[in-house]
Amino acid sequence: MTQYLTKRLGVMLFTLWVVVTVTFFLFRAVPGDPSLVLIGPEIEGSAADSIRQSFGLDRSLGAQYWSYLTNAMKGDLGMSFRYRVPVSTVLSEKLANTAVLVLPAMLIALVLGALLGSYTAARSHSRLDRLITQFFLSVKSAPSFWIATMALVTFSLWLGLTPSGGMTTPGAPRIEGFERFFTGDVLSHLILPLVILAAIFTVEPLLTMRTSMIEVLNDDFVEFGQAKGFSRSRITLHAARNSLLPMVSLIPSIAGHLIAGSVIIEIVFSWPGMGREIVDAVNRFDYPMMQGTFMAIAALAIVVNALADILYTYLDPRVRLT
Amino acid sequence: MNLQNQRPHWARWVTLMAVFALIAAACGADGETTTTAAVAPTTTAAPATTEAPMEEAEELRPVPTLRIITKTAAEGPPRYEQARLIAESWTAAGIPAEIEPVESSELGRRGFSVKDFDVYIIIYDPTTDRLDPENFLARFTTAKAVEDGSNLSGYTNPAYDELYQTQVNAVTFEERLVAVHEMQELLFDDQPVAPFIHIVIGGAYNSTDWTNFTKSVGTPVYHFWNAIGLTPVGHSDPLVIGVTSGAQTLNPVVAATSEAAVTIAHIYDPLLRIGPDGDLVNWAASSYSIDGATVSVTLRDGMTFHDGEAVTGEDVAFTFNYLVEKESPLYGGRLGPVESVTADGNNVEITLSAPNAAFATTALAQIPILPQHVWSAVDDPSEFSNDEPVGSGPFKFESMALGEDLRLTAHADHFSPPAASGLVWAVFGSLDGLLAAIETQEIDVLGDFVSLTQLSLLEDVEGVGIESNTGHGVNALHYNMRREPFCDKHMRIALSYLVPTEDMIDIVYEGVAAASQGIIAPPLWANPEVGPVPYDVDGARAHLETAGYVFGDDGTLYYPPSDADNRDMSFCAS
Repeated sequence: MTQYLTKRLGVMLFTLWVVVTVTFFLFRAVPGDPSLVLIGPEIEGSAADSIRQSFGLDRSLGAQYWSYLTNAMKGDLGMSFRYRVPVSTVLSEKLANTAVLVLPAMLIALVLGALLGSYTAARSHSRLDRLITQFFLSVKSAPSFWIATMALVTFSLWLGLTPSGGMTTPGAPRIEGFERFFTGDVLSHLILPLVILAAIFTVEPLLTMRTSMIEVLNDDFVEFGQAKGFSRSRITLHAARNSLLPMVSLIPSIAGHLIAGSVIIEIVFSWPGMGREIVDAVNRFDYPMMQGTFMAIAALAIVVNALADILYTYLDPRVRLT
Repeated sequence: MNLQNQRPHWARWVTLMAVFALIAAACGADGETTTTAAVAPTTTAAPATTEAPMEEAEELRPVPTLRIITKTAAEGPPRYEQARLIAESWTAAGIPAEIEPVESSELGRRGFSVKDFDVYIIIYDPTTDRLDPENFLARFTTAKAVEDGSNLSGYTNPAYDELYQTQVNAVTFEERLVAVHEMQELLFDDQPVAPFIHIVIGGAYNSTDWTNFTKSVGTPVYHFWNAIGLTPVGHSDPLVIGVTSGAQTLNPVVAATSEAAVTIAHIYDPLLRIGPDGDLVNWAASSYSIDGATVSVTLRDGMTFHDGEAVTGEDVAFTFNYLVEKESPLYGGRLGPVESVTADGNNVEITLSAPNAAFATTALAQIPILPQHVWSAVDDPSEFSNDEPVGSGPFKFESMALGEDLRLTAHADHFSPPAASGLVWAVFGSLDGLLAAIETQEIDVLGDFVSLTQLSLLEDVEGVGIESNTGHGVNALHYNMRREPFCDKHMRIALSYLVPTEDMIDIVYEGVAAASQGIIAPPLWANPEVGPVPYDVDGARAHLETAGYVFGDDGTLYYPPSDADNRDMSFCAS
């Protein structure tokens, strides 16, 4: 087991290094001069040079890479070109904002997916089964910017029930610290994007649970239970517990969404989170910020994958590799 | 024995290499024809506009397809659309042209940095410092026709440079006006640039909750005078300005964008400000006078910084020296003409290297007064984030959440305190989000540059005040005179004749825009005698024929043959 752990974690570290390296060089292969974004077209010659120098853009690519790599290991991801504050500061702030939106959405999706999945499996091919699966499939298949815009127009502009965007009412007194997320104001801004995001996320757990449940319902022990005269709900409960295992394998794929999955929703609802930051950083050629966000996403996906793998070996000893 | 099996292994490699070589050759040849290769016209391409008999025709070089570089349709729809209409019009008239959409930072690099383009379509926003003609006129001087310089066209005319210097050093308004008018004549005659549209700038604000609105030149609604002037009706909330691009840094010494300059101007005081009608008004200065190369300024009495320290002449002198010494991107260059600054109590004397008429507008009305007691300790301003800026302006810093909002509160001790309790810049994800928020009155002022056309949906909304101005910005084409077809004045004039201005106004701006007379918008500095260039296909053809260009029978346009070459290749940068 220890051997497996070291090996799995070693692979994880190696993947992280590859990601750092690839993102670093990939962004520099994109046409365009980042220093121009930094400088703005208003600025002339000598000032432009001194700005390039202060951000180290005049150094060779190799030297930039080496200092990036060594600093990244210390948790220093450089200075954002646009904000001129450390990337890690921006990242942590945006990550918190995104988490407020995405974590509840995922939780809802997982619970709702598991519940509806077992329910629809127990009544597979009924009218209700079709209605539920079709509904969530359509939500997932429709372009999310369209759904989000329609919801915004309906609930905000027509009905006037929800605010038109942002996380707080602009100009409302600012609350510092963690408590700021738990105000009625934030909640009223949160509700619409949260519901849409949860509906989009639900489809995967729903279908996974449904399939796995249908399989389990054909198992011998179910038949045995039926023969013993157990009630239908009791059988469903037993089958559901046994169907949950494949849901664990969904966790890593969902974790990727944690940062990036809400890009469009965040833009439409002006949510000041990570997804919007990625797009802004790309649009404005903020290299350090781009690298920081992409690395954060990659690191999260890689770490969660490794953890899920390890978790799986505990839950289902059959897949233990060594 | 099967011969096919006998084919040696290396044969496959040879074939592969041959294919690669062919592809490479094809690419190379393709690159050549568009740049230098001399391609003989077919027999049908006999000169149509010159009388030379066919058998004597030398090998004519076709004019290559002209490329207009522009933003992509996604990033800048109006710019892309206009480029497309222009390219269509040129092609229809027999001058082959196409558009090349590129991502905006690449656009910036090729235009402002390395000058790698044929024609560059630009939209100059109506920023406050462009109210003075200096910003536009400087863009055609020889000094700026360098790498990283703003002379995109590469126009190098000694007569123009001389006039530029004359207007810089002019002492009276009239003297400067004469030179500025003459410069516009030169630009019109030589056409290094084709200015075609002044956009009508729109602005929107919440007129239910705020009164005492001031309309200003430039952006009609979102400007400093409304920030301090708009008065709340029956509430004491701060004034909320919605923007899509938030404040990036509050450090005036390292700030490099005009967006950053806007926020800085609310926290810090300049000596003068540009008033709502475009005139200079005294601000931190109670009076100032310009006598040749000497500028004397007297500071207002009793001004304090947000931390309670008094504002003195020493602070002003320190600021001027500091910004130059630290090469401030936004302000250092504006102080270029300064030779020395001395302070005595509230009096500051600035000595310039030569008289400079624009100095009051470009420097005195822009440079933020920094507190010496804060900045004298800052050796490397790029390492100093200025998290809690201390200025003397009508608003003081409260808090900032990056990409979310920036909050300022009223500085009650200011000589011109704001009517609102504070000011908030709220950052939105998109322009659509902003427009929705102004409709639902979640924001009070629309802070992005928009054309009036973009506000058409808000016109009938109760409680939203809409104002507009014909902007002093300009949409224009920069011809790259460093390159062959554009070095010729006749070609440039012909191309300018073929810019379909009226179509663009109708299609792109739904009829709401003004055809431009020249790079400088009316009224103050524009020369009423020049421009606009009419849409005139015959005029364009006449110019091409005068220069000796040849239209082939198949529609191809050729450079003039050497014996009939009347092109005018003056004033081109190398």
